[in-house]
Amino acid sequence: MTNHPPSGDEPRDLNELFPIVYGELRALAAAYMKSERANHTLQPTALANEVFLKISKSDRRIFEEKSQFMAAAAQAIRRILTDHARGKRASKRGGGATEECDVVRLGISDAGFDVIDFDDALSELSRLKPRLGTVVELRVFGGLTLEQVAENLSVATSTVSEDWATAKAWLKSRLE
Amino acid sequence: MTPEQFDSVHAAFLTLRALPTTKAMQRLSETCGGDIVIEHAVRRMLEHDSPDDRAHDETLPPLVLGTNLSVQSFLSVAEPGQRIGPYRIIRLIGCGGQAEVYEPEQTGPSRRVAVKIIKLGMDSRDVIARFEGERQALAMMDHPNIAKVFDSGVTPQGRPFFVMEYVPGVAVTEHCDRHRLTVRQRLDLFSLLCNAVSHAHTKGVIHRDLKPSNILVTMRDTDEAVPVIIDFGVAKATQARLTEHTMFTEQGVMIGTPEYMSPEQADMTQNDIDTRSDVYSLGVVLYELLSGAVPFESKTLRERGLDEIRRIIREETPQRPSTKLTAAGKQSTAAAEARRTHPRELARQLSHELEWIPLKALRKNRDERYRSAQELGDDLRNYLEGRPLIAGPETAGYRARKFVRRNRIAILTSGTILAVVIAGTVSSYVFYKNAYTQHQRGLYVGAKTVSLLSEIALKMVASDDVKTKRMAADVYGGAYAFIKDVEDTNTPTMRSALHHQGIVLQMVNDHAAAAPVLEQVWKDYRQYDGEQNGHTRTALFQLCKSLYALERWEEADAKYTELIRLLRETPTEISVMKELWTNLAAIKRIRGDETTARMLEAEVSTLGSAK
Repeated sequence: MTNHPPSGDEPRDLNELFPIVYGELRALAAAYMKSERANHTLQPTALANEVFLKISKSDRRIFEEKSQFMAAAAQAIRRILTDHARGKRASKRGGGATEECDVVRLGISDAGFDVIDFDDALSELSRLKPRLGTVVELRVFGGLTLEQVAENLSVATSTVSEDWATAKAWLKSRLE
Repeated sequence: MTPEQFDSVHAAFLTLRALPTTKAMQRLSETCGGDIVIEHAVRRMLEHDSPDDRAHDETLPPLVLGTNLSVQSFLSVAEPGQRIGPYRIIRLIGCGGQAEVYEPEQTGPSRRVAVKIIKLGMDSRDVIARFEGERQALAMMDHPNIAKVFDSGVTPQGRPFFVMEYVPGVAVTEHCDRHRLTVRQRLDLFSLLCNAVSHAHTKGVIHRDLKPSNILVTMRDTDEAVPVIIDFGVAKATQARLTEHTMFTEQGVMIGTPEYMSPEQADMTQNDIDTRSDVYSLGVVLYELLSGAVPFESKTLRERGLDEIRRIIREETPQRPSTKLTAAGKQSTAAAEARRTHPRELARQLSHELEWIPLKALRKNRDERYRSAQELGDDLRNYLEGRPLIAGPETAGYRARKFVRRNRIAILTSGTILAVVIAGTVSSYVFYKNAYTQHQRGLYVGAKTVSLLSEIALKMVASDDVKTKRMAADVYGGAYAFIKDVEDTNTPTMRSALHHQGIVLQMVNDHAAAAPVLEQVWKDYRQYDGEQNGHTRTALFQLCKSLYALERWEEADAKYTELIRLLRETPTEISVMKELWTNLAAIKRIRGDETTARMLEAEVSTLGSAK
């Protein structure tokens, strides 16, 4: 974490964009809390799109392309979920109330994986092959289709399709 | 599994999943090239490659993925407009696993502040109480490289927060890589940090959580890059006792940063953390600034369980930075480029004394580290100015001690030589019995004897008493003679022993005795390791110094000329070159060669302007 605000005309990299997206996602959730939608579950795609609209309205220069934004959004959603889950585990020690856990699903046949376990496994996958880790992050936390992922990474859809198949089988074999 | 193995897994899986199941299983072993790790992974993956998903892979709406995210998970700890203490929050400027940093409306013109809110479930009253306990000491700190922490309090949601000086900047490691700072520039920057930490220590404040993300580099007034340490006092308040509570959850999930944690911090039963814990963390940061990697890789640490992480931090000896760099392959090229040099040159520079400094700061036993951040900074300046280091090479003596410790033999706390010898001999015997051939035993006993002698010598070198120190040279001489007796050729250990003898003699200013020893070892290095070897050049450099001190001008002239010839062929620190050139000019002048003296001096001034 850096004590660093995004400002001026310097080139922006993911590190600098991240707090903006992260902050907006949280502000959005706060708005939900105040509305009657408080108990709803959120969809990554919907979240990301809503935040993108808001940010692009307020400052067009922030993101050069939507693809850059999606990478930041997917990362922010992953981080928020994981931090929240870890925080919850930590506070359980103090006897806090347990709430429904967030789960991550990779397909229609699985029941969902624990967020923290999933995060650990995904980090390991990224170590073994960074591109596969990014594919999963964009797809699961950014809510992108295979075509959109391909466009985002500037690779062929067939490559993404293969990456996704391998990544999914590998993650499941580790998590199940 | 390695990334290379995973590439094979990826390829094999894709080939096999296109086949009918029975056929795939038949061809499994063949496709995986007989590697059982790959084969096992691919088999498991094929089992989990469900036909349901296959049918849906292309068409599956992304909405199905990552479902059921509750609104709760996304709630921020503070929102724009909210009041925290006397401050109104404007926006989020940083976020991490344990805290979020917000920019508030600034109340006065003088200093900008940031508000850091701790996210985890901790007892806020404890945190505040601990912060209050240290407030006086914190207030006394006044240093340009330390960000002040002004206040603490509790948010309306009951989370502890800290108000601190606002430092717009990036992590020190990132700054150095982004601007491609050379090793020397990195050392200059780092020595400022040593001064800052030392200042805090004299005021009685220990940081406890020094790491690159707490060391920011910011631009001040004249576009000058200034390193600033943030969060002094925060770690103590939030992790008064570094227990499972803060470092791990009950499931053993890591939530802190173990990479920079000292062994005594990792040992959770240990409550007395002192300034030397900060010295350790500074050592990790220095290690990273020099080599581009931390001593224990983050991934490795995170993959292991709680006990294993603690064991690694407390027991495993870190690799030498130069070794780590050489083993890093492609990454080493990137690391070297970020330091404006080449991997081989960087490794040479590190292995040539520089890496002794982080390694000494990283000793498991805090008594063996630098006694203070000040001493660590002093040793960096020793290095920069070509003086002998306080740190020694991590040689036989240190390893012998490690060996003894591993064998759980009673350890010398008294530091008496006798205890070392007994402990060493007993553990030697244990090892000796397990070594199977006569030859191996012979080698082992030889190496052991030498390491024991070095151990003794090292103890003596550390002594403040000059006489004792001087005796260390004799012990090194004894070790040299011992090996010479049993070996029929000149070995690296022999050269090392002789070199140490010379270094110690020089250390106690006995140049008359040092000169012949250094001359001999220089010749030996040159014969066996080549004239451009780092050791060869070091020995020659030291020989030059002794000859100069002895005012043996004719010999000094020849040796300086030779050394300068060698250094012209290889990139060298400008300060070292300046010193050598200047000294040679002085020698030339004394010997009546005014023309050459002037020429050299002219060259020195161009060296200066080149910098």
